[in-house]
Amino acid sequence: MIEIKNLIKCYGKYTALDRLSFSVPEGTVYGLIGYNGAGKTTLLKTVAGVYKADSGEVLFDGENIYDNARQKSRLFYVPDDIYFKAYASMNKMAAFYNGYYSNFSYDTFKRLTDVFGLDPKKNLNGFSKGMQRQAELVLAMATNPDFLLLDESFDGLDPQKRQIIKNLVTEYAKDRGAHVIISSHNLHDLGDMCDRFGLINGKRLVLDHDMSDLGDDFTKYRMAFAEGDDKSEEDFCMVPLSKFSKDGRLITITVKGEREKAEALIKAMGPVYLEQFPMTMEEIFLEEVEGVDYDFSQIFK
Amino acid sequence: MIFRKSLSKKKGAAYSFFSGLSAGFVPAVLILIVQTFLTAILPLLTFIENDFGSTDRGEIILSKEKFKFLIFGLSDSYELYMVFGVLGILAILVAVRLFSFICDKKTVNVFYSLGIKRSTLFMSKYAAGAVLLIGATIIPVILSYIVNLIFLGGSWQLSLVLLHLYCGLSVFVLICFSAAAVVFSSVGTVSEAIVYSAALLFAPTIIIFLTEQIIGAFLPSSTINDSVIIFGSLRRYYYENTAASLLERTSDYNPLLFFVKELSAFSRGFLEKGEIQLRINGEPADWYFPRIFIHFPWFIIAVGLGVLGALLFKRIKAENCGFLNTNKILSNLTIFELCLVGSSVLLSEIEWQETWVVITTGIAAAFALYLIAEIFLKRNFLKILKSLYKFVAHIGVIAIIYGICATGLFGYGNYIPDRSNIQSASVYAPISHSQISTIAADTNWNQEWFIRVYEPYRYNLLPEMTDSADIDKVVAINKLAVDTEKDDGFNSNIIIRYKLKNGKTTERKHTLTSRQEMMSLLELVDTKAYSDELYKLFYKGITEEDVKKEQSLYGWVDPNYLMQLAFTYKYSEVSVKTDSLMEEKLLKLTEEQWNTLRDAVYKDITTQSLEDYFFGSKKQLGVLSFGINGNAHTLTGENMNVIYDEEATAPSVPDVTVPEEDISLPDDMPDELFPEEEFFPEEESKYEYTAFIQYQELGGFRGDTTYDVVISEDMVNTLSALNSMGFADCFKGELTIEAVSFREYDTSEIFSYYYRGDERTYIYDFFAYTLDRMEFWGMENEKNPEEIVSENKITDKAKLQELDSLMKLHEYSFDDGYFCLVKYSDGNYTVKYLSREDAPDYVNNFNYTMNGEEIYYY
Repeated sequence: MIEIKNLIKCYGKYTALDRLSFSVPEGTVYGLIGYNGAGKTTLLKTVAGVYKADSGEVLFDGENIYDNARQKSRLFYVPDDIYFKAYASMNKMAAFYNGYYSNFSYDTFKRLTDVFGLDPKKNLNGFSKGMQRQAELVLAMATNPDFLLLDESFDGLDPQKRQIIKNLVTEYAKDRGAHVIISSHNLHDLGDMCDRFGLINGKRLVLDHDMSDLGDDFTKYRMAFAEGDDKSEEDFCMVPLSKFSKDGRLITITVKGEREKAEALIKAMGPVYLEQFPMTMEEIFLEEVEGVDYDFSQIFK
Repeated sequence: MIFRKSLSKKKGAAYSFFSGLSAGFVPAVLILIVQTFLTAILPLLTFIENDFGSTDRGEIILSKEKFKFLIFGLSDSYELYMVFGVLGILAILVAVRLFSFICDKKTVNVFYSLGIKRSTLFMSKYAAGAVLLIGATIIPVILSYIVNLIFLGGSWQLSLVLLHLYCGLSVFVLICFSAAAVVFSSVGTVSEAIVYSAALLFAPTIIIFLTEQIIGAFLPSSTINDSVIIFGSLRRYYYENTAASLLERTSDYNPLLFFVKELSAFSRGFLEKGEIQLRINGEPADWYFPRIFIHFPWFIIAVGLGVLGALLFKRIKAENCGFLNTNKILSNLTIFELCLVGSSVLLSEIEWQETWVVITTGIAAAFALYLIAEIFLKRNFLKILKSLYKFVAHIGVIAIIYGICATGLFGYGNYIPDRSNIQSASVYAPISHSQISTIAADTNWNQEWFIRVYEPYRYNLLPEMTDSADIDKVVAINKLAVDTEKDDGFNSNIIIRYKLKNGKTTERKHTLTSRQEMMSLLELVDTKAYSDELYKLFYKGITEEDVKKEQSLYGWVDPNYLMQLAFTYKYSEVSVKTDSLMEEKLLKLTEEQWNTLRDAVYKDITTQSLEDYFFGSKKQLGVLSFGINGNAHTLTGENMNVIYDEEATAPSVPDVTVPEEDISLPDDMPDELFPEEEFFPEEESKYEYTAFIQYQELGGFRGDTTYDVVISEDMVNTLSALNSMGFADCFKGELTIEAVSFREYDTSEIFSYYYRGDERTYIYDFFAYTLDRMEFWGMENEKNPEEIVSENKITDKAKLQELDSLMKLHEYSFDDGYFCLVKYSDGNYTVKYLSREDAPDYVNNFNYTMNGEEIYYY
């Protein structure tokens, strides 16, 4: 189990992460989402032991991960900014990782390079960005890690490769009981593969949610009332809504938690049209982050 | 599982170690190449040249006859500094190759997440670097051993010295590597790591060196790093550092310098009559056991730095990598060093510039360097402005150092050892006896003014004084120098070296600015030590064996040393010149007569009053010279050309005829060197001339190396002796004065000397000299000499007679006066001196002109 307890991480006087707490059980794929600069990479680096937490704990099976050679030998961190040795090929990098990971498997390495169709002898500098990501993932999986941290690993990948990786990671986590934390802006793909996700907003973990319960806890309703029955947001004050929008007679609300209660209250208001939609991760993300609406027509005047 | 984990740990460390070997291989190979070249190739070339080449005389000197060992191809200190500089840079480069991953964000992500402890990661790479450096040194040392073995054979000295060499070089590169490793563990960028590594290693050198420059510049009594040409009482001149510099004295504690002196001393062992001789500062020195123990503490320090690096590496924040200025301690240390360097930019000019100029320029230079560093580190003008207080702090610390030095370094400036603790005192002072000062002086020649004076070199070494009364005199002068604040516009430095009864030596230097202090220096001639030295000069004499021994020791013979031959009858010739200096006669003397004359001159010199000697209060009659005759020609082994006048040959003189075929004259010499009518008076002289021998200059026979004594009326013993030998009128000449032209001699204007930007009066020792027409023609403007001397001219016979009695052949020019160009009846000129004090009114009131033109001094 990966446990993060009240984690605080600062850069000088600036607090990047403020009292984060969550856990990643065995065999779980945990998705990490947040806007740009929210602290996802900082969190992953702290979990990987690259950064030291200023306060709080990062525990791997009960042991603090920082400078813990034993636990780190079971961990592989795939950063956003990938490192390859100068003029190295995949074979050379395999030798590099083989030097540090006793579980490194050249068989797995070979098989995965075939799966992704990569030439292990070719200079990695000649690979495209997407191919480099694939190469790094192959190397990561070849070390047979118990803990796998992936930062923006879908970035630059075509849909087919994304699908392969999703399947690979999910299978690996389930079969091997590995702990996977993956961050990405591709919420659709994350939604497909994650068992759990966390949303970082305002330096804090504002959401830490099981994917299977997502539909119960986040619901969107679209409704309409009879002509003349003009409803406003105040009319829904009893409903535990998180967002209200009205477009003519069509009213859209999102409800967080207490779905049954909310539904009963809405029905009591007598809508002529009522429809329920489960929220996607992207919708949840956009709602939680609460971006500013810009009138772009004014910008380009 | 446990075994697997253990294996994993070791596997990571091992891989890290071997990959480190690979990464640092190239710079290590460069170190190996440099060291192999110096320890094996250069010695090999020397051995081959010796054993298979030949000298100019066609001899082969085998290496095994010359060397006991030759382990390093360079021995000069400055060359060694460069070598060590190169090795240091390469060692730092090894650290860059091994530890630059700490400063790159991409590599940090990987390495810090690997299953290896940070300390293990660091130490495995450090170990790789250390192995590379030690290996890069041992191979060249082995090759050096083999080369020496082949050409010289083995010896325990060779093995010992090679061990010393190996330890020293490997510890040195290890120190540089370790310092860089520590720095890498503390900073965020490679550029900072390189700069700070250099700053850390150079810190002791820079701080000590500049501190002693500051002390030397601002502390008047300091002799640190004074390097002067000094002239010993036996007229041998050599450079001497009066006091070993602070840098030298602390070199054992300096990471960059602890081995330079040792390597210089032991780079080669010479064989001298079967004994091993080393070379220290270029001078032969007896063999001593190399100080191998000095390496051990430095090795410990190097390893300690490695451990420190590992500890710091454990704590270094990955988020700092790629960012400048994350280590305030190192950045401030480096900037402080830069400010210190900048502040000292004009220190070497302190004697020539005013103090405020030196200080202001220093502050400006320090600020410029500070600014450059801050721009590099911060790259933000606002941030630089906000932290400007740091510059004030740096300059404040430097100002404190300057202030402490300038105000006497807590009393050190005025320190004089307790009289009861002083065993002996030596003084370096611009004072000497005329007989010695001729060569112990620099000649300043002003062409426009036809002026030539001798500047007694600032640091003539007077004889070491052990007599109690002599030491009292020295201490009195020292106290006067400390207490006197009066400034009469003089400037002379004296250095006093006290040897104490506890075996230590202390040196004091003072700048004398008052007339009283300058006059006090004259007392030093009136000491037992001085008269003892003079006695040695007159009476010790030297033999052929002495000269040959000197020649074998140094490979040549100092002409000044040869001058002692002038006081050995066999090699001596005595001549007299009249006060015109034109008419010279050799005195034919028996040995008994020679001894009598020598005794008389010695007695007169040693009893002459200081007033008479330095200021010529009695009439000066002429010059008596002790020179060297042709019997000396065998001693140098050089070919000598002898030209002599047959008419002047006296049969009793030892035959020094040189066969004609041995005479070779330079092509451009005129047919007649000395036209008879100019040199020899027309009338037959009543003196018997010995062979007049003119030697070509061989580093100074004749002219420069005779002992000239100005004979004045008070030297009654000399005059009496000459009288008794029938030379009563030897100083009477045939020539008469036809005219005297004057040039004002203002010491501060003609030969300026600066002290803290002020022009100062300096003492000049004036000796009369002749000017023949050739010298006039050699003048730039090629004027008719009569035109040059037409101004300020006196031809009145009565006045000329008066002036003849007043003008001096020798005087210490404390005050202003006149150069007198005396035209004689033979058409030649002699330049004499007349002080303002002695000059009659018609000279002092003369309306001196130079054609209304500005005077340009040569």
